[in-house]
Amino acid sequence: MFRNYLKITLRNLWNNKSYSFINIVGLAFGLASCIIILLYVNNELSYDKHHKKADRIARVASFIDFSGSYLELATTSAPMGPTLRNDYTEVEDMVRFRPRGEFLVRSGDINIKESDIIFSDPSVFNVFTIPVIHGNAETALLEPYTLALSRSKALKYFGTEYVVGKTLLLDDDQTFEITAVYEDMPETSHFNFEFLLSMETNADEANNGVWISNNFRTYLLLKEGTDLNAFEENFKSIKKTYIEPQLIQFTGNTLEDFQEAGNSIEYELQPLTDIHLYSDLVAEFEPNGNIKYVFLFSGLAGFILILACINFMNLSTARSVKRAKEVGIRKTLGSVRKQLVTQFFTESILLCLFSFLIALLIVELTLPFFSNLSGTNLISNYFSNTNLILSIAGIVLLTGLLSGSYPAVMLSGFQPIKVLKGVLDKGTSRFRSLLVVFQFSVSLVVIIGLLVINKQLDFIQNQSLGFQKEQTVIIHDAYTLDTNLNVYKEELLKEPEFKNATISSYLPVSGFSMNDQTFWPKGDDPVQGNTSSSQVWRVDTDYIPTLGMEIIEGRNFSEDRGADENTVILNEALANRFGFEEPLGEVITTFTQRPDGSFDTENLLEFTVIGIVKNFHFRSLKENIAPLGLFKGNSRGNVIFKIDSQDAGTALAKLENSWKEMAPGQPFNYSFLDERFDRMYRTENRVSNLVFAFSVLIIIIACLGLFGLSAYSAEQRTKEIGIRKVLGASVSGIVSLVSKDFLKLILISFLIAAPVGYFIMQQWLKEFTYKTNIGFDVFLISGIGIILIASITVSWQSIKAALTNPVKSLKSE
Amino acid sequence: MIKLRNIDRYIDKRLQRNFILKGIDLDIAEGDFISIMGPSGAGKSTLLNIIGFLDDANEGEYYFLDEPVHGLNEKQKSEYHRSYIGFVFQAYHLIDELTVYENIEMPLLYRKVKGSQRKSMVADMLDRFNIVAKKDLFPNQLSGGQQQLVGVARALIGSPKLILADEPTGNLHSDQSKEIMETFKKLNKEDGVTIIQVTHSDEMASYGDRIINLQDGAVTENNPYEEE
Repeated sequence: MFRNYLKITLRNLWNNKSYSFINIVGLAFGLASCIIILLYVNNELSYDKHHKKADRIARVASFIDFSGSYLELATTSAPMGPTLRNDYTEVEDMVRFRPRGEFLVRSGDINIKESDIIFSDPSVFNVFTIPVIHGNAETALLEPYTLALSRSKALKYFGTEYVVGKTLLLDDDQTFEITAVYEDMPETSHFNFEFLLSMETNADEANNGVWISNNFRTYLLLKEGTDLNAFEENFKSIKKTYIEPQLIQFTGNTLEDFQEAGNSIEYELQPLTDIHLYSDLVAEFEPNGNIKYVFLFSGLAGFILILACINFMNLSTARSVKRAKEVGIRKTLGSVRKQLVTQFFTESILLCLFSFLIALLIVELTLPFFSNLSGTNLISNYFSNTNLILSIAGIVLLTGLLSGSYPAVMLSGFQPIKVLKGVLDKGTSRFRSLLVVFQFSVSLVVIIGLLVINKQLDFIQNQSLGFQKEQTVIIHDAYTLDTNLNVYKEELLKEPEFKNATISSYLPVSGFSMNDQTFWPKGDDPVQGNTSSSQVWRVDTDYIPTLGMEIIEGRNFSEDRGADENTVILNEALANRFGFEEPLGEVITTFTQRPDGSFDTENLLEFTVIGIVKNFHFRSLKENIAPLGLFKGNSRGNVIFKIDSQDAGTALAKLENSWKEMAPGQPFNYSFLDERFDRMYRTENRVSNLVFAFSVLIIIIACLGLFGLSAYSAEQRTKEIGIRKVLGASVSGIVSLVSKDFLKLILISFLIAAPVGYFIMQQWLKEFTYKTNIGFDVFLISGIGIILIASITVSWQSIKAALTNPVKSLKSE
Repeated sequence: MIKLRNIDRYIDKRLQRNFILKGIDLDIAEGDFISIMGPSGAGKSTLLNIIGFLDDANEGEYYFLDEPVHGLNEKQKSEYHRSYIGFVFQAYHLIDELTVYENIEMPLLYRKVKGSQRKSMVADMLDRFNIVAKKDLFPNQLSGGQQQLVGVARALIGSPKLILADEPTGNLHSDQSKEIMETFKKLNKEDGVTIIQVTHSDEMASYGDRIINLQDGAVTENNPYEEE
C-alpha cells in the first residue's frame, strides 16, 4: 500500500511540475531559513557552556549611582574577589581579570599589536575550563612577569607550541616568561584572551585595597549547592564592613549619609551562562548578544515556516478538485477515511523530506553569507549537539504534519458521489483567502519593521552629532612616536591634504578612553552639594576645530604654552547640571587622583570655566548626552587628522610614510572616525541586514503562493474567460477580473498589518533616546510596494489567461 | 439479495420538499441482471447510489443480504465495498496517475491481498479482457472503450457479488458498448454475478433480464417487456 502511495505522490509531482516546484522550493526555502536561524540560536545559546563548572560561576557586577551619574558596570573593585573568597565559605575560588589596553608583543623580528591580552589571577585555570597543553596550570601565573598564551599565538610567534620557558617582549620594554600554553578559547565564549599576564605583575593595583574604584572583572566559583540569590543578599554586609570606612576616609560621609544624598552602591551576581545573552553593562569584554534578537529571529523562523506550510496547504487544496476524484474512487473501492488521511500525510511528509534535502543544500551554500551578516561564525555541525538534531528532525516532521493536515482532513472527508459528479464545496476558497491574508499580513509587518529599522539607522547616521565625523582619520598609538609626536603632526600639516590635526586619547565614539570624575561648584559640599560626575577629556587647542565642534559661549583654549592650565570648557549638559546662569568665570572643583587610582581628598583641584561647547554625542544614541568637560592637557593616544582632499589614498600613504620614518619598527594603525561611529551601531546594522534577507525570503514565499493560487484560479476560469472573450470582453477587463479578488485580499492584509507593525516598531524604538518617528511614508512605501509585487505576481497569470485564444479554452470538454 | 422497502430520498428547500425518490419498493435476487431506465432526473443514479451505499435514503428500509444497511457505519460500508460491490462509472473514473495494471490492482490493496497472489489475480484479469499489452499504459493513453474495460476489470477483480454500473456505455460508441455488455452478460450467466445498470439505451437495456422504469422518483413499470 505504501508503494502505491509513493507512486501516486511521485507521479503527481511529476505531472504537475510547476505546482511541485512551488511547493518544494517554497518549503525548502522555509526550512533552510529555519535551519540557519536554528544554527544561529544554538550558537547564541551555547555561550560559555563549555566550562565544566559553568553552573557554579558568577560574575560580580556593580551598580553605582553617584552624584547624578548611574553606572552599571561589569567590573568591581580589586579587593572584592579576594575578600569574598576569604570571608565567605560559599566561595570556593575566584579569578580577576584586568585589561590594560593593547600591547605590542615582540619575539625577534615579529612585533605585533595584540588586543586580546589581559592580566589574570593564577586561579583562572581552576575556575574556567581552559585546557593547558604545555606547562603547569597550577603554578603558571604565580610569578610576576610570567604569561600564558594560546596555541595559535604560540604558533604565530614561534612556529611551534613548545614554547614554555621562552620569552616575549611587551611594549618593547617588559620581558615576560612563557609558563603555559593553552588551547584556543572557543568562539562561543564571552571573553577570548590570547595572552594571560600574571596579576602579580600588576600587584600594586591588584592589592591596593581600594573599594571605590572599579576596574576588575571578578568571577566567583561557588561551592556546590550554593543558592546564588541567597548569597547575593548575604554578602551585602561588605558594604558596611569594608566600603563605609573608605567612604568616611575619602568623603567624610557615612554610608547612610551617602545613601540619603540619593547615592547608592549595589552588587549583583550574574550567572556565567547568562552573561552573553542578558548582560549589557559598561565594560563588557565584547559586545554581547541579546536574548531579544534570539527571540526575534526564532519568531521570524517560525513565521517563514508557517508561510511555507500555508503555501503547501493552499496549493494542495486548490488542486483538490483533481485529487477529489481519486478520493472518490478510492472510497468506492473500499478505502476508509483513516487510510486516506494516512495517504495524504505520507505525501506531505515525503514532500517535506525532499524539501529538506534541498534546504540542506541551500544552507551549505548560504551559510558563509549569513555568518557574515550576523557577525557570528555559523557552522553546519548538525551532529555536535543532540538537541540540534532533534529540533531539526522535529521541525521537518512538524512541517510535514502541519502542511499535510488541511488537505488530509479536508480531502479525506469528501463524499464520493459528490466529488465524482464534480460538485465541490465553496467553503475551501474562503479558507484559502484567509491563509493568503495571513501570509501577506506577516510579510507586511516584516516589511514595515525593516523600513522602520532602516529609517532609524539613517536617522542616527544623519543626526546632528555636534561633531563632524567625515574625512577624519585616526592614527592609533601615537605615543609610540614618542618625542616625534608633535613633529609628525606639524610636518604632515604642511601637506595640502590635511586641514587640521589634534593629539588626544579621547574621541566621541566608543572604543576610546573614557574618564569619569566628580565635580562640584567651588564651595559646595562634595557629597551633599550640587555635585555632578563628568567626563574628563584632556585635549589640545586644535581638538575643537579638528573635530568640528562648536563653541557657543566663551572661547577655545589659548595657543600659548602654559596658559589655560586650570581652565575647563563645559558641554551644555554639564553647565545645565550645575545650573550656572552665567557659566563663564565660574569655578568647579574636584579631588586630586593618586597614581594608584585612589582619591586625595585633602588637595582639591580648581578649574575656571572659559567656554561652553555645544552638546555632542560621545556615546550611543540610545543614551542621553552626559556631562563632559574638556581640559587642556596631554593625552597622547591618537593623532587625528582632518583630510581636505577627495584622495584619501594619497593622504594615507603620506601618513604612513612619515610614520615609518619617525617611528621605525612600530606598527602603523589607523581608522576612520565615521567607520568607528558606524561600528557603535553594528548590532542594529546586522539586525537590519538579517531582517532584510529574511523579509526578502518571506516575500518570495508569499508571492510563490500567490502565483500558484492565481495560476489555479486562472486555470479554473479558463472556460469563463473564453466565454467572456467570445462575448467581447477586452484583455484588460479580464486581467482586472482575475486580479481583483487577489488585490482585495492584499488590501485587507494591509489594514491588519499596519497597526500591528506600528505597535511592534514603536516598542523597538523605545530603546533609543534619539529616535525617528514612524511616519506615514513607512506605510505608504510598504503598502504600495506589496501591492506592486502582488500585482505583478497575479497579473502574470491573468494576462496569460486573458491572451489565450478562446477557441482553445472552449474546445476541450 | 437486495430488499428496498418504501425508500424516500428528498431534498428540503425552504418550504418545499423535493422528492428524488419516493416510495420505492424493490426486490433483487442474486444472479439478476437488471437495467434501470427512465428520463433524465428520474432518480436512476440516486437509486443506484443508495443501493451501492454511496448515498443514504431519508426514509425506508434497505436490506443487503438480509443485513439492514441503514444501521451500518462508515467502516462497515467500506467493508462491503471491498468484498461485495464493484462499481463501473460512465466517466470510467480511473486514477490518472496509475497505470492500467496498478488501477486494476488497487482494490486488492484495500483487501490486503498478498503480493504474489495479487500478481496472478491481476494477470488473470488482464488476460480475460485482452489488455495484457496495455498494462503499463496510463488511462489517458487508452481509448474510451479500453478505459471502460479497465474500469470493469477493476470492478471485477475483487470478485464482487454485485456490480453497479452507472451508464457504463454512455460515453462509448456502439461496438465498444456491445463489447462491454457482452462481458456483463457473460459474467452474469457464467459467474452468477448480480448486475444492476443504469442506461438510456433500449438496446443496452435488453442485455438484462429485467427492466425497471423510473419516472419522477417512482417505479412505473417493473419489467415492462415480460409479457412480450
